[in-house]
Amino acid sequence: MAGPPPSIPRRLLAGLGVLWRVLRSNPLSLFGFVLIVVIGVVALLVVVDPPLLVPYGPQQLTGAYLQGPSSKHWFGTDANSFDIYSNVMLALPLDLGIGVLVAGTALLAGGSLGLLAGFFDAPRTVGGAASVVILRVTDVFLSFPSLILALALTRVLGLGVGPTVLAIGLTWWPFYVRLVRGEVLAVKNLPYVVAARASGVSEWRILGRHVLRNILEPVVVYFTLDIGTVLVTYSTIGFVGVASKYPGPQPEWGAMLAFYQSSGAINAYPWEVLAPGAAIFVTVFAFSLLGDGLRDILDPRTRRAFVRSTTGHEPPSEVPAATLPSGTVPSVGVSPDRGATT
Amino acid sequence: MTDPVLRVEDLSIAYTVGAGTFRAVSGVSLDLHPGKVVGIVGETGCGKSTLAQAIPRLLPEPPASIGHGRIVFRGTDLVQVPKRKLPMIRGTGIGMIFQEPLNSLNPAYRVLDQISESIRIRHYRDMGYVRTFVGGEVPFDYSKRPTATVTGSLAKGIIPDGALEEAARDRLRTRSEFRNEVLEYLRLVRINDPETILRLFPHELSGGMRQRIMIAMALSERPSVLIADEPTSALDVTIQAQVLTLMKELIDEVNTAVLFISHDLGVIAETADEVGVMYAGRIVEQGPVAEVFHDPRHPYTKALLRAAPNRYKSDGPLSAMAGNVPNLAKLPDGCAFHPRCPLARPACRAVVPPLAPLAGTSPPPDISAHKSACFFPDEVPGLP
Repeated sequence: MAGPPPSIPRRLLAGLGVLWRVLRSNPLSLFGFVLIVVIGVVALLVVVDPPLLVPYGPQQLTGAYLQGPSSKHWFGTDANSFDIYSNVMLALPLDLGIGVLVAGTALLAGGSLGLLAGFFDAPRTVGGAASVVILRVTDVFLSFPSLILALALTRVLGLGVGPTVLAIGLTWWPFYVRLVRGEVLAVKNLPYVVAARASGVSEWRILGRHVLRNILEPVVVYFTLDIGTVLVTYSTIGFVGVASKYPGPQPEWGAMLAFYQSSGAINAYPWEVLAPGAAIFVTVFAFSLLGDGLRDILDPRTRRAFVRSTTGHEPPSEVPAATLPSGTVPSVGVSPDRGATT
Repeated sequence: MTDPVLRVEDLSIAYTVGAGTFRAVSGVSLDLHPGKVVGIVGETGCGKSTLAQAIPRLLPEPPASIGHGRIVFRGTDLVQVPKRKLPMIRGTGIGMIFQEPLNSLNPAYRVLDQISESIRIRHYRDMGYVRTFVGGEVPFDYSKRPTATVTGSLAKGIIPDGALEEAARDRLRTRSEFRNEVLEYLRLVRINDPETILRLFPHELSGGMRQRIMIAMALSERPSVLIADEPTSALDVTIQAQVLTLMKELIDEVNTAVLFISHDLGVIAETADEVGVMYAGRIVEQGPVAEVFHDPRHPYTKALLRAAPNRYKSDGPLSAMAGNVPNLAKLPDGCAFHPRCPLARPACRAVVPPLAPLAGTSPPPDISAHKSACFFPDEVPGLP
């Protein structure tokens, strides 16, 4: 380790190595990562080249009515002879896109507002006044259940995919304001922030390097779980019937569920309902597992612990006391207290 | 008698909470000289930490506000620096060491990144990338700042001559140059195997180790004034002794002026050259540490010394001081200590006694004369 520091590609590789070891140590989160990658690739393929994975069009008559799952129709067909597997697959990019877009926008917008409201909240300053305004507006939004508010907004904004996404987006950001502000308040007066300030680190750099980095873990974990919640909310609104029309040119899981459930034949033809339901479940589940995995990676404490437990390799930290040069102050032997200290 | 590096004159600090205002620090004056340690001792809530954080202007303002007084550091009155210009004066010569070794290091970064941050800032400032404060009575010229020099026998061999000077002042340094300087500081605080420690996260280090890293961070700014706010209070006794020994050696080597805050009389006696005893925001007794502790001339100091458990005598109960620390929002009139004082007389209830030098004291150079804020200092030795 006495040589020059490793070059950037080597540092990247080393980082990927750590990532791999952390993932391998927790099979469930590894499964989540793989699932997310598979879902992402499939969604991309459906958009780029539908015939590759989708055998039939959304409203293509196959001639097979109410057939159960078979090698030809994986998830069966419905009373219109539409292929359910094709419709579930065609809905994937839309549902996934909505989940990531709404949660992502909420994270960026609500997160930035929360960051500013939490960090610049000294009373009797411009920032303090701004943070009061941000928080009161947030409270107004939070006082409504978001599903009800989104439904009400769709009455104003109109029916269809676009307005519904907008409606959910408008109700979604306040959670992030609260979450991020709370985390910032907990971190911003810790001694290491004051120490950074004392050594001349600028306020914006403190915000990014010391505050943001240390609240990242809960926020990112919440975000990945939230993608699933957005999906469920959109599907619920779709279920009520204001978002997407099914059957139609662009299928959507919630609308599919609503349509087949209302046909009243769940007992006779359960595959109609099971297929879109399972699609929602698997996607939400994958994001939950991803959230768990990300938490392990973002927190240096668990990261190290995991790497150790899987590789049996101790990070080099024990310094033999015998190496002390005589005559000097006995150095505190590095006795790492590795337990979860917080 | 040399000029002080930092002079605090008649400093008063108040907190405004809700409608109420209370004075946490009243009329404190201190001189810090290179290589000398000024200790501040007092009970919880007496204003020690407020004073420590006020000197580098780290107190959140509001709720805190500096009422009057001056903090003169290199010809600039820090009290007069406008708030938005404060970042320009930070990291330019006042280093800080904090109490909690667990929270004083950012848990997300390795030791290397923790220490190199302040080195980087200093470097960028030297290169002229960071705006520096211009103002005050004497224009503040950062390039001509007196940097702390590393001298002394222990420094020889640990840090090669000139190694702490920049390799080149006219170009940006590389990562490995920053890394090498971090290594120098880790060696300076007697860390064995710094190459390994460099890569560890704070949670992998013991409390004493973290405090060493903290000291290395503070020193890496090359401060001419070091403020240590209870640096050893969270450590157990053996580690505390090691860290104290280290600090004493470093103070000699690096030749900085130190303000050492502690509630532990033993630690202060061990470390400081001069001591100020604080009570309810005021310094009630000040002077050379041996004189103040062996011949206290303020009833509060006397009571404080008596309350300290004696490790050689175990007969009888521990003596506790009667009464409580007064509420800073409604301090008693006159001397704040009079409700608990055995010497209290009508005069004590009317007028705040000034901190006056005692007759017949001749302090060593660079150390304040023995002063007491009591009307009857000569009666104190007679107290039980």
